Amino acid sequence: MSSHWSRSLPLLLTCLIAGLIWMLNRAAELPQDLPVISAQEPDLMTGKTQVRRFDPQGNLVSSLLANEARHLPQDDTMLFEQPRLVQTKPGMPAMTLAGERARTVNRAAEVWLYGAVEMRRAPDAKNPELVIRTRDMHVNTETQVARSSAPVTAEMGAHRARAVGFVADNRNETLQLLSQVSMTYVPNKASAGARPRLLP
Amino acid sequence: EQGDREKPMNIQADNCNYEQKAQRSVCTHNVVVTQGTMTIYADRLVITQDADGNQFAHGEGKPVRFKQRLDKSTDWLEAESQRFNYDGKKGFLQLFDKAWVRKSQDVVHGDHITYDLNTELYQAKSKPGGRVNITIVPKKKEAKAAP
Repeated sequence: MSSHWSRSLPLLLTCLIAGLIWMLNRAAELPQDLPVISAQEPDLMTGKTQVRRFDPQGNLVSSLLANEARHLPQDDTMLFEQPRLVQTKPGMPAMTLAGERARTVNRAAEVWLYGAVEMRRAPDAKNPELVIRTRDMHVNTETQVARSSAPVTAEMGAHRARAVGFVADNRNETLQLLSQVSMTYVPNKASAGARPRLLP
Repeated sequence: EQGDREKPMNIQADNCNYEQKAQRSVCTHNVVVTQGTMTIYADRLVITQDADGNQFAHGEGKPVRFKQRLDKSTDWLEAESQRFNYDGKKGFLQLFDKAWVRKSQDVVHGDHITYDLNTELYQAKSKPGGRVNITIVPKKKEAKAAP
């Protein structure tokens, strides 16, 4: 059996969340010497925003785009409209996170994504594209835990997973699908001759 | 049925936890695994995987129920037990505690029944002092056409 079978949906969901946590932690860093007017009033506002980050070799590693971004001194809060984070680490499939609205506090120690959230992991040599959709997700970049109590779906080629609520713990490499779990796995011809598989 | 292996497999449960390091999934409450004609009902299902990608499962239930249509037949194999182990490497399903397997109308009761998914043959054992109980229903001879 090829190692394809070890790249199961839950495993990829955890990897995707890990990449996302890494991005969020770095993407929301802003210049520090901003004049404080009122803690609840924006001290920085940008329209069409694009923040790009490069590695020492000059490779683009992450991009943060948003229709609007505002910074509030209180809790070092960042507010984003239509945020879109793209991670393009060399040698790794690109990972994209898109949301309707996002809020980060304390240098992105915590991140809230409000409304629909979509995460994509580009296809690679072993796996088709992985697309995960959920809503109202919270990410703690310090504990490296992402969670939502909303329905979540994951699609990778013919494989599907669905649940209501999840907790992805990157540090402990665990994923809990909290309720109404349904996973459909379609063996391809290569594996069909193999014995029945219970772990997608 | 051998063709079951090419069919999509669906696992449903009230909740599932996946441990990447241990390559282990634990699904609990109302666990239903279906693939083609095969269906397994359990309260708890633990699935692990070895380095070669072979899968192993352990299930518990009150009882665990297993059902699969026999190959090239309209008959079904049904089985129940309190616990089961599935060895994906050997293709064995082992049923433990109050286990029985019904194949068409033949029934085997035992404390430990091993069913070979490749050959569709099974072996039954009992605990010390216990007994295996097998009921084989003779096939009715087809009535000869009137002269």
